[in-house]
Amino acid sequence: MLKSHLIIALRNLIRFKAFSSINILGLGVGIGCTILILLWVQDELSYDRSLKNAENIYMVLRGDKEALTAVTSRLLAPTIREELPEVADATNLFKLPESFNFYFRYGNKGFEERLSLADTNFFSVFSFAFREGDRATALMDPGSAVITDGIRKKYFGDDNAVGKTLSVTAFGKEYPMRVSAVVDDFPHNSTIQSPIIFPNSWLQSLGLKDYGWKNQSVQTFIHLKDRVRDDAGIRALSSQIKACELRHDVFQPETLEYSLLPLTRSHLYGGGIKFLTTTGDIKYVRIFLAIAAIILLIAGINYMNLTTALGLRRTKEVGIKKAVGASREMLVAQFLVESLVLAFIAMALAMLFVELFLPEFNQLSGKQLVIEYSNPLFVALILTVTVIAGLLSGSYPAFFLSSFAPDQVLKGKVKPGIGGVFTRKGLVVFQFALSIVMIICTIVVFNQLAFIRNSNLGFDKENVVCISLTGEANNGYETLKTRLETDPDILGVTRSESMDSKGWNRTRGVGWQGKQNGDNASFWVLGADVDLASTYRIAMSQGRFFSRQFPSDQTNAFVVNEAAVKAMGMKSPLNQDISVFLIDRREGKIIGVTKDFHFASFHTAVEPLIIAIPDINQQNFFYRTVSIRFRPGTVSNSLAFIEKTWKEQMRDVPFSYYFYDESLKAQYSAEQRMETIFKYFSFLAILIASLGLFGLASFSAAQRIKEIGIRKVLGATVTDITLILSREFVMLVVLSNVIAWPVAYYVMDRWLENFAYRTGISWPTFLLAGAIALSVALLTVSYQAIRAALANPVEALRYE
Amino acid sequence: MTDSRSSASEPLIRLRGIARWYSSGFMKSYVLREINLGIREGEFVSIMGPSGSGKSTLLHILGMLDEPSAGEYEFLGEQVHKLSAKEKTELHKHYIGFVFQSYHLIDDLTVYENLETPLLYKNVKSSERKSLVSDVLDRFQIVAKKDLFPNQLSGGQQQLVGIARAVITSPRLILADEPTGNLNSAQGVEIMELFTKLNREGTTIVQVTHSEKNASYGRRTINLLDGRVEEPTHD
Ligand SMILES: Nc1ncnc2c1ncn2[C@@H]1O[C@H](COP(=O)(O)OP(=O)(O)OP(=O)(O)O)[C@@H](O)[C@H]1O
Ligand SMILES: [Mg+2]
Repeated sequence: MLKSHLIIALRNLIRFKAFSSINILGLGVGIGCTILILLWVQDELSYDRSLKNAENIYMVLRGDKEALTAVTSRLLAPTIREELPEVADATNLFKLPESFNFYFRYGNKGFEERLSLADTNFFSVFSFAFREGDRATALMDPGSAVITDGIRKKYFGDDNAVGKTLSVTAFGKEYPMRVSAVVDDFPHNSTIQSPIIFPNSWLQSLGLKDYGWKNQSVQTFIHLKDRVRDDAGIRALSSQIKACELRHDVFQPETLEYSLLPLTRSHLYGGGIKFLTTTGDIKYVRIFLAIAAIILLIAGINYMNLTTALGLRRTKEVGIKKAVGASREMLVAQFLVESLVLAFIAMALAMLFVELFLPEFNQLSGKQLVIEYSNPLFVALILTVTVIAGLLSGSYPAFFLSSFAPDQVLKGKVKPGIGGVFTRKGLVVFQFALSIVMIICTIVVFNQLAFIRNSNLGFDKENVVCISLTGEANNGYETLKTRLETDPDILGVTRSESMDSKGWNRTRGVGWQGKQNGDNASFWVLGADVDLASTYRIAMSQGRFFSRQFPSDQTNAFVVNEAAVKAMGMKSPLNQDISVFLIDRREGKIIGVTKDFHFASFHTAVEPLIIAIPDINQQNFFYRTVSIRFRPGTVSNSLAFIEKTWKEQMRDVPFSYYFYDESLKAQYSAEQRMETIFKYFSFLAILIASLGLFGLASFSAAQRIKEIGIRKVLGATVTDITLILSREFVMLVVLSNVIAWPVAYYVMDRWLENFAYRTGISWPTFLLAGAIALSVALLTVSYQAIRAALANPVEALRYE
Repeated sequence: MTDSRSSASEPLIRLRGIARWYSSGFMKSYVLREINLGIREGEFVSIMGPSGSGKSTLLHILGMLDEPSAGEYEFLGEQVHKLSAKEKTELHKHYIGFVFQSYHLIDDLTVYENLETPLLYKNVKSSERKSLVSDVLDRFQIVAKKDLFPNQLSGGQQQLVGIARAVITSPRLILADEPTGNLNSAQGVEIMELFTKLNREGTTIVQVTHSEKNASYGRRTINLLDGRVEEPTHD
């Protein structure tokens, strides 16, 4: 029986070739897209979960909702360990900013690497696997270094590394570090990525001063004995941590708040927390899941629509079969087998699609996803999805059609369900509405990114090249600057903290006259020299920028932005005295106010900023970037000249540069990725939807073939017929627009709220999306309509 | 019935050596062969013959719905076999009313709308359409059915609507394929009398029929046998 069902199924597949291939293609592509997205989502959700105890590890956060930071004092972890019994263990990690990269060397191999510092017990909290060395003692000695296997290969090739000496150049001197352990490379889905880790004690051993509780720069992790399940428990613990800190550091304000973030949430929920760089965002996981659902839905609807439409064309066959004695069960079984066969072919196509586009998708999404065919869970999932898809879509024609008495069907009394027609049209409207929503989203995202690209930032981001410069290397700066400025194409040279604003300090320790008690405003502080405003072309709104003509600018002057003036509530800011507490306390006058320029991304409003020239003896610590403005159109010449001058002047200091405007783009990488992915998937969505429409149009044309013939006989022209057939579908697409527009508006309005500076959603966007959908639909439908209209009427009428 | 019509003796239709075949594989199977036929304006012709002899095929060719495989067809002096599809549609639209053997009403339209359709394609004004449709509804005594859909009618009623749709445009030529096949004898007589009346007023009528009695309404009978015209019987 099954065999005969299969044979009939295959024969029908071939009989309705066009229909079947549209059906399979749509479903296959739809399932393929969904698999791709689910792979991505699954990867995003897997962050940090492979660690032992992952569920019990929390990150300590400081600050309120407005300014949550992931940095604490290096003294916090040991204090918690000592004073809070419910905490099993506490440790910390200090990931030095990228601009701090140190130069490592072994023999004649040398590279710049990102360095992290950690507490001695780091590896007893984090269960990263060891390849060499001893977990308990790896970070005991101040002169030891724990490296990943990747670093080992890079420097030591195939040899073991433990016991060998890796030297590091820091602050102008070279120090020998003994490799004490090698750990596995950090999995890509780990938030912690620290290829080289030194013990905290290393800094002290260099004789650098540690500012203790005042220095808030390391991430503190606590490991709870038993997982604190409820919010109340977590809150209680947080306030204990706060009390703990207040006991030791009387200078901390009472208003200071602590909170705990589960490690497993740090990847997806850590956005917006200062000093916690995460590439993930739960928002995008949700958006992607929604896209997956939409595409699957569109594909599923196609499948169902086409299968039932096809089923209706076979009412007569069903009637005759029943009349000659087929039981209802047999008919149901036959339809189900047919749709299962179709579903399995579609699944094979989907896997092919995934295999084909996975590399491309990985590139778009910045991941290295793989399909684990050997994973039984994955295989089971795929099979289940296929069977469900097959049964679901086959069930309507199977049960609906087999339910009629044979003479009803044969006499043509079964008006292929007005209800059925209605549902099918409703589903088409739904499909197109979803596609239109996706098109609108794509356009809005594109518009917002274009808006960001083209907006005036309040300074000139183009034609500036930045070079990292740290520590002692700063000593050669003045000569370098003089030599660079001999070239007429070099328009400005300045030195400052790194200009991406990520490494800047933020303080609430700003005092001014009339400051209210409890005023908690926080200010960004940027250390820069006198040439910053002229090089970056930052416009002043009042007063002047720092100048060499005023030696006092070096020690007691500040330039602030308009937001800062507002935060301090000053009417006439010029010459007002303020004090700023950063590493030390500094007092001085406001000598100028800049216009608000966008030093941070458009996600946030321009925040209060204070610019100061660092103390002469702290400059090597603060300055980490040389920014050079060159004449537009001279990039390659200027860059060559800069590099040559740098090599001559700075000798060993590596020349690592980036273009400032490029670095700004990184602020929007998530949005950019979303734009590309949206573009692809909305294209696919409309493609699948129009495949379905194509099928339905051809179905409708086939069903109306007699009507078309009669109309032609009665004198209808090809245009008349095409119009008649297209009109109904055009109406459907117009209706889809009506539904899609408010939905898309709502969704994108919420998305745009992520930006403090944003474009509106304008009418042309909707019209454009509508026009795209309409023309795709028209193109699809009119092909069928014209074909039907051109057919010979007698052929059509002889079917009776 | 209009003055512009030419005299009754002028040939309306002239077929010379018309053949129609279907090729299946390497075989040609002939449905019609070597048909030579002239029909003058104002004639009332009956076509008879056994089932499968090609009567409907011939009628379709006359109605320009189908093309002969060979031969020449002249309609009102126009070489039909040389015309484009569009020009044929125009000719058909203006001169011919066609009654199908299997009615061919549009399922999604009501009786009223079905009757209105040919007028729409002839660009008849709305008010005139209304009066023409109600005229014909009256004449065929189907006023009560005007808002029903074809599948709500009996076979005979559908046939009536099919005939009504053919005469509504007052065509110069009515081609009717077994117009009374599904009607009771009283209805059949009425239709035949209607045709006779129209014919008297100048309309040319060609009907296919199986019944000798119906054929006797016509002034000439053409017998088809195996796709050939039998020797014409003279009245
Ligand atoms: N598409 C086709 N392919 C091959 N043969 C065909 C085709 N259409 C019709 N025929 C054949 O043409 C012949 C004439 O058909 P036609 O419909 O003209 O007969 P008819 O005289 O009108 O018969 P009836 O009295 O039953 O209506 C038939 O034998 C039929 O098999
Ligand atoms: Mg016939």
